[in-house]
Amino acid sequence: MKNGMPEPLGFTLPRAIFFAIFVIFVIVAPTFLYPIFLMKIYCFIIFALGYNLLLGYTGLMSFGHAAFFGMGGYLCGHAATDWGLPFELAVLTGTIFSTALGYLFAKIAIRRTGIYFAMITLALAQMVYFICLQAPFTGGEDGIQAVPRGSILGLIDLRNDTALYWTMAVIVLAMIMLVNRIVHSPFGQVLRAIRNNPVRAKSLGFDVDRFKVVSFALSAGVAGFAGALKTVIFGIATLTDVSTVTSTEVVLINLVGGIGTIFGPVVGSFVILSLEHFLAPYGPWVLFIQGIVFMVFVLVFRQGIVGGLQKVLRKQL
Amino acid sequence: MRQTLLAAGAVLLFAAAPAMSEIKIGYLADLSGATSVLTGESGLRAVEMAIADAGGMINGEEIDLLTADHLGKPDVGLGVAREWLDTESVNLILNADHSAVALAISELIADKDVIFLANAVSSRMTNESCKPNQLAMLMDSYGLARGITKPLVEAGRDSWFFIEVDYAFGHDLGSTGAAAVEEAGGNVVGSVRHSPQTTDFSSFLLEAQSRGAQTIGLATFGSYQIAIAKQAQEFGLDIPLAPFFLGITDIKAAGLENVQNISGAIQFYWDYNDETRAFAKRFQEVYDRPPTFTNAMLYEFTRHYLKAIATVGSTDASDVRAWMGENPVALIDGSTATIREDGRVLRPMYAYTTKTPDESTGDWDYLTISGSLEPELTALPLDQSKCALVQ
Repeated sequence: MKNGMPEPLGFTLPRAIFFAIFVIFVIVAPTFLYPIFLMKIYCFIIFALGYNLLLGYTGLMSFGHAAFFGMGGYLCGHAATDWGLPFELAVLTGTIFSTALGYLFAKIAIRRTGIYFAMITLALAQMVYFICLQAPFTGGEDGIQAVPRGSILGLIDLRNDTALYWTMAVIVLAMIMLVNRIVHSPFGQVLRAIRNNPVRAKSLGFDVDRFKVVSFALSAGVAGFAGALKTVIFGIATLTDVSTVTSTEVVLINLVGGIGTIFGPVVGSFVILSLEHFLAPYGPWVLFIQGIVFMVFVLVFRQGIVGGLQKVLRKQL
Repeated sequence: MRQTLLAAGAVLLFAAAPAMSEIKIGYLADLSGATSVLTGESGLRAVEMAIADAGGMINGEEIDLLTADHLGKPDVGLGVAREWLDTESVNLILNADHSAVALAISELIADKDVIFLANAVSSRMTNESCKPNQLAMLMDSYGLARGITKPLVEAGRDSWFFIEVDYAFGHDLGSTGAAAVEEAGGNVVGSVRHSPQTTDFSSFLLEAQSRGAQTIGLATFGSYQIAIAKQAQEFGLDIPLAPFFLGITDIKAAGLENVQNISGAIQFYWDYNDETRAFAKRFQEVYDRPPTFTNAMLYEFTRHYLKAIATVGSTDASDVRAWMGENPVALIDGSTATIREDGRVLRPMYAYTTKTPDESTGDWDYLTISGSLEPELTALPLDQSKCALVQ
């Protein structure tokens, strides 16, 4: 609330303009881009938003977020296929499970900081990967196949790609608003205080560990939600989503977009997934170019695209 | 007015008639990961050869070949295939050499006007997950397990030990192999599972030795087989190995001295007869090694498909599929294969023994073919199938 300007839902004017631009993009995009591809990007935007909550705003680096993304997908797929739950409940199952898993991870991992924290999350995620490879309900390397899409409350039939697209569009926009609200709330301020100086936050009387755990669980829950939605869109839940490749991808998305910015995950997801999508015919070049992109951003452009823009405009995005 | 309406109607009818539109083939493969050496780009060359042999066009229509890498990720593969169907209306999807990718596409194409050749070893492709327009030419885990064990048991090697890779593919291969051994009158003295991270197999080999196994079945693939073969060689283990999934590229990578005197079965070998040698010679003009079995299959399948659309005169998937099933598939070695209702292509396998470095005349001269196995031996009998098309 600097300068006494009102910030409805945590939106300052620049952020509101950015959001409006994205809304327009979401509306016109399906006319020139393939809707399924866009929906996949939206899933990764949600995933990256959740991750950014942890890395960008709490200052905790997790290398194991694929565990939440993947498990959200598996649980959603299992709930929809084997338990016959409808769309909403299946997605909810995945989200709740991932939140709980995140809480558990956080309880163990926050005992250490920095590189040790990252390594613990990586190790736990590898354990989850192993469980997914072996547990009977995940279908091993074949994954869960033919997950029904279902409908929203029996009203909107999601088997129709157009209906699913608009559902996803609303969800991704709502998630951006939600994360923006969380970040620019008193709770979000405490998180940023912890990121900037945990010792000072503690001396001010905040229970740092508790805030970290809540932030981690929240972040995991958002990741699980994204994973569950991805399962609904593609009708599959597979090992890719719990693998370290996915964990690194979400770090890369945030790095390219801009860590600690609301719109970084949005821009980053578009860049990284477009590379993967449009370079698919060129085989090995995808990985090669992703590597180059990573290096360029780490070496010369560490604030990422939105972070750089923020510096030029001198506004918080 | 009425005449204009009629004319407009005629134009509409004409436009809707199933004339042959452009023929589009989508080649979706692992171009960068673990299986890219065996198939990947070389498979694409084989498909291109088949198209070139057909003159690049069928009934005056150009054949368009699209390529994409699924990166071993089912969502990427599925996304590409879906986009090909929705925006390019491809007529044939080839390869998908990854079980999860192939199974995902299998669900996608269920009610679409497209033929899908699934080159995954999962036996589900022609079993639980069979589809009317889905075909499988690559030997599945059922066929591999039986094709490799039964002839060896019949040749007198009757006590077996299995080393399986610890996930569904390995479990499946191991249990089918064990059942085939017992069916042929042999016995299984033990089995172990190795995790995908294992690099040291010595304790498994010693266990096999202490149990008195006469043959070690390797229900695993790629680098694991090579590592096991090398370590067995280093130990001086005199129990013969039976790898289930050894291609000439694996032998090249391992070095022939490490895998000499191994017996097994393979689905195509370039140095089998004059026809295969002629094909290999042509293939080597476009790629720097002889064709592997997957390369050969892609060529044979594409050729059969192009013949089908040329004769049927349309790309309508169900008509083309019917023709493909009614007519024998011409194989490179001069023999023929048939296609069953469940989509399985019944083709023979060759029994082989690897040469010693002294017998080999150079690169790629690795196998001595000792006979062929009838396809009935290796295909799941239809009365045991869970495929809805044959119930």
